[in-house]
Amino acid sequence: MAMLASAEDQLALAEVERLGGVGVGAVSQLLALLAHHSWGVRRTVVATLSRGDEATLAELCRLLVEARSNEPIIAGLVDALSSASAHAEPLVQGLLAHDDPAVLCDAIQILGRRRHAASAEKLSAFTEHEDDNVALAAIEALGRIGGEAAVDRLISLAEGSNFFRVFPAIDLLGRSREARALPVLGRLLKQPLYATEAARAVGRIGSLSGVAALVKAMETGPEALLRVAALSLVAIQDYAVHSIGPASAVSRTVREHAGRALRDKVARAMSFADDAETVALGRVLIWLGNEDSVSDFVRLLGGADEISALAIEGLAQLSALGDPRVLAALKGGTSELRARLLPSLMGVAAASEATVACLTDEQPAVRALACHALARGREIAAVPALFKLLTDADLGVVHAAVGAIQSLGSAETEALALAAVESAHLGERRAALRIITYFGYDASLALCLAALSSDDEKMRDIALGGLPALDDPSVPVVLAGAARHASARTRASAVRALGHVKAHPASERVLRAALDDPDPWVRYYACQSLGKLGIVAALPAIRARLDDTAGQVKMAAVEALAALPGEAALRALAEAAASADLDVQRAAVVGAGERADSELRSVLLAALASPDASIRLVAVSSIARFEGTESELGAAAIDADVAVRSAALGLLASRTDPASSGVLLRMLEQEPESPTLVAALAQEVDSRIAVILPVLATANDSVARALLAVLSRSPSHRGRAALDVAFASPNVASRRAAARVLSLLLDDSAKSSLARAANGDSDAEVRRLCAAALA
Amino acid sequence: MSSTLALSPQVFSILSALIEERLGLFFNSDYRDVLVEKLSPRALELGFESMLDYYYFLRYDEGASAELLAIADALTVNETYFLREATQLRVLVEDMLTSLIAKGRRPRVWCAACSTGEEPISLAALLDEHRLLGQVELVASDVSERALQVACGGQYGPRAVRGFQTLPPWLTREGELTVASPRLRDSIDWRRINLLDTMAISALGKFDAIICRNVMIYFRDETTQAVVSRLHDALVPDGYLLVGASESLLRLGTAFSCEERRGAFFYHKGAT
Repeated sequence: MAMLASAEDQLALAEVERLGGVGVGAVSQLLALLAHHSWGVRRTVVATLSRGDEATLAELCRLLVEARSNEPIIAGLVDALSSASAHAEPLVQGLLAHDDPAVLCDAIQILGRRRHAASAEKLSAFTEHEDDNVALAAIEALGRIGGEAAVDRLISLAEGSNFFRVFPAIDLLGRSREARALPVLGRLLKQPLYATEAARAVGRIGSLSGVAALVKAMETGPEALLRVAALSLVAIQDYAVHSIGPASAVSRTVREHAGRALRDKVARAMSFADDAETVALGRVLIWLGNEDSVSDFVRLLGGADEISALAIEGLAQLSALGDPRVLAALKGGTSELRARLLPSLMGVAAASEATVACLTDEQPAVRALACHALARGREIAAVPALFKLLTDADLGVVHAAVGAIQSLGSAETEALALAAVESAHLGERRAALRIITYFGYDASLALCLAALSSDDEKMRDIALGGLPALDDPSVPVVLAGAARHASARTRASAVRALGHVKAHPASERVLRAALDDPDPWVRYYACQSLGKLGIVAALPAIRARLDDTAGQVKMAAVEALAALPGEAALRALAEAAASADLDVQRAAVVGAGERADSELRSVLLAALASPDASIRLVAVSSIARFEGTESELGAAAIDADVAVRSAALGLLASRTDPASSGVLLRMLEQEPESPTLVAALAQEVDSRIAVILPVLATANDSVARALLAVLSRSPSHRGRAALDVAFASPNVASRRAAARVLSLLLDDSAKSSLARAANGDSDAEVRRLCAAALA
Repeated sequence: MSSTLALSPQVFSILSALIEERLGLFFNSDYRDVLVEKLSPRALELGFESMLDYYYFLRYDEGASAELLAIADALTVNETYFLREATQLRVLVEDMLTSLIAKGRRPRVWCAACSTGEEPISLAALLDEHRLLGQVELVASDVSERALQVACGGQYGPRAVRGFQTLPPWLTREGELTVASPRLRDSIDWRRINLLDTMAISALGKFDAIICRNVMIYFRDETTQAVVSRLHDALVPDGYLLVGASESLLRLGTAFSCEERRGAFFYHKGAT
């Protein structure tokens, strides 16, 4: 997206570009532009300087030493040298010999931002510098560079006694994600000066091995530390779930190490916690799984959205959604609380009375939710209360109530519906007629016939819509009669309804005549109905509708071609798929998919290449109905349009054949960091294991990690067996990735596998990962 | 006949594209359930048995424009309250508008997505507090007819006043409702405007300040850029655009410069 800069800024940017072409002689003019008010101009100056040649970079280094009176310029020099070409490195390293601590700090910062591993040894020495700023800069630089030597140095600093060395080292060890830092961090958790920072760092490392120490800290430390430790536990859990799915052992490990008093302490700490801390503490309560927490979760129901959602989850985990305190909260709660709680209470028998109370909530969304909840909960006793909503002012509520009544049935429904259909309230009469025709009560036919004489169009609609379900020989004749009604809407409804009854000579005549009705919706439904009834004789007339003036009629004509049997209809459909009208094309592609005729395969392949994304989308769904289309779906899975990609991936993910899995695996090999591909493969993972393991046998590190993330998501023993195979693989990348997964599972079986490998694996990294997991 | 119509991914794709094309509102696939919940009852009431039929109605039927406006009502969450992000409004009144009035001008201010009216009424209240109410022309608009009806009616539920411990003098309790001062409501020129309608916006004339807060969250970036460009054109030179605290135009690159005054951010149209 192009920047729309002001005219003044555009002039400045043009000047920067010009000066960039001048070379070292323009450096001072470029630096002067770092005072420009526009952030965009300043960033462009830095980028231009960073692209300078060796002479320019040498000049920047000189200025960093000699021209230190202007902070913005110093910052610009540092930024430019940090992102410059490799020519900058020896020049910046040369600055490390300077005496001025300020210069040293800048040089060290640059090398750290460049992640210049070759400087790590020199930077380690600077961590002992007498000037604390220089030492701090060196520590931070080592943190950016990373690697074994840097982490070793940071661990050693954290074991020291100088606060200005220990404190920054703790933070950087956390960001290094190195589990071997956990022992020193565990010790620091016991020191009040460092405990909170150490707790954060343990969380950032994300290793299951840190859980026990955090739980201990929560039990023995002050409340402030408890809150931070809770956040860290959640961070470890989030990392584990991201890595291996829901099988993470964090919750089990917390329970294993928690003493009896921890629950109460966590609950008390919520009183002074902010929202994020409350959510973390709530999650710990869920993991502790103690029914004493029910009252805490009830209290949290009225909190912010995330807190309330967590409270509901906690109550569900404790099987306490039917608790009287929860139901009291529902009955007496605000509309917002009810809206959050109702979906979770669907099917909870004890919630019936409280849910019925929600039928009179001031918010229509809550009233509708209550209807759905009562239907899901099979609360037949609520039917009379649902009937009262048939006069609701909100359409969504009325339809929800109708749907619930239709779903529940009940012995009272017929009498209530027959009474409601005589109501003075028009909306109630309409709703009642929907219910009556749905159930097909004895009185249905008479009521429908009476409704056909109503002045109200919608009543006539509902009656006509309900007639096909009534098993009466008079229905086609009645519908044919209604198809001549003065009201276009009524004619349309009748013509549509004719498509739902068995073909009858009267209806065929009526439908064919309706193709020439002046109203487009009558013609629309005539096409649809003729297609549904398979009246091939109408094909020429339907084809003529492809040139109808009304767009929707053209669509219905295409739909009919897809439904009609025979070669002629198929050819007409294929022609429509090549129409210049995109809507006609799209409808034809949908129809081709529904027809699933091999002769239409080429039509769909062409549609997959359409410049219109919505046509490609329907083509993806349609081509999926054909066998042997994995490669086409694979190509669509990298489409420019997100909806097309998502649809194609979803279709591939749901297929368990080796060819589809193979397509997904090849995509994963190209994009091993893609969580979408991992999720797609994990969808039917057990059926894919036989295809995954051979790929794992030769995978590189990143692909192996991704494949193990897939395998870890299997809920079955087959998946676990596959993990063991991966851990025993000759491919070291597979063993490393498996070690990481096992370190996040850490059940007894995983521990014994890790213990064997910690001593016996031929790869040093595998041994290190295993030892760190067991530390 | 079902009480809820199914919405397949394919129909969702074309329906959401149509809604974006006609109303500017962008809904990705995460909102499929919301569309079903809000639109299925409407489709049933119109007599349709499928969401595809309903889509064709919206796409082709002459009566679709009224239904689209009703959809806008149904799909936008009119979640606002009095004196929301008040600092920004105060700075507008005390710094910018006061200064213009002191120079003998009668500033024009447009609340461009006023929803149920809490924002322009809050602005009118602040102007009144500074005895400036009659010296500023206030225009307030929204695409939702229903929201404008609420604004003109001036009656509000508890969520609209959740920022208050005690009600200010311009709000009075009547039973379970809170009523906004008729004098403040009457000082506002209420209009129905779609922010995608360039002609309608041009017809409003030029403004010294435009407030367009917490509506662009519904737009794709391209639509936001187009709307912001129209609002830029609707400002006088040196005019100000106010957007919501969680909305930033910086990532889009616009012809405005961003200024901070007393903790509130404003987008300033240059003097030339």
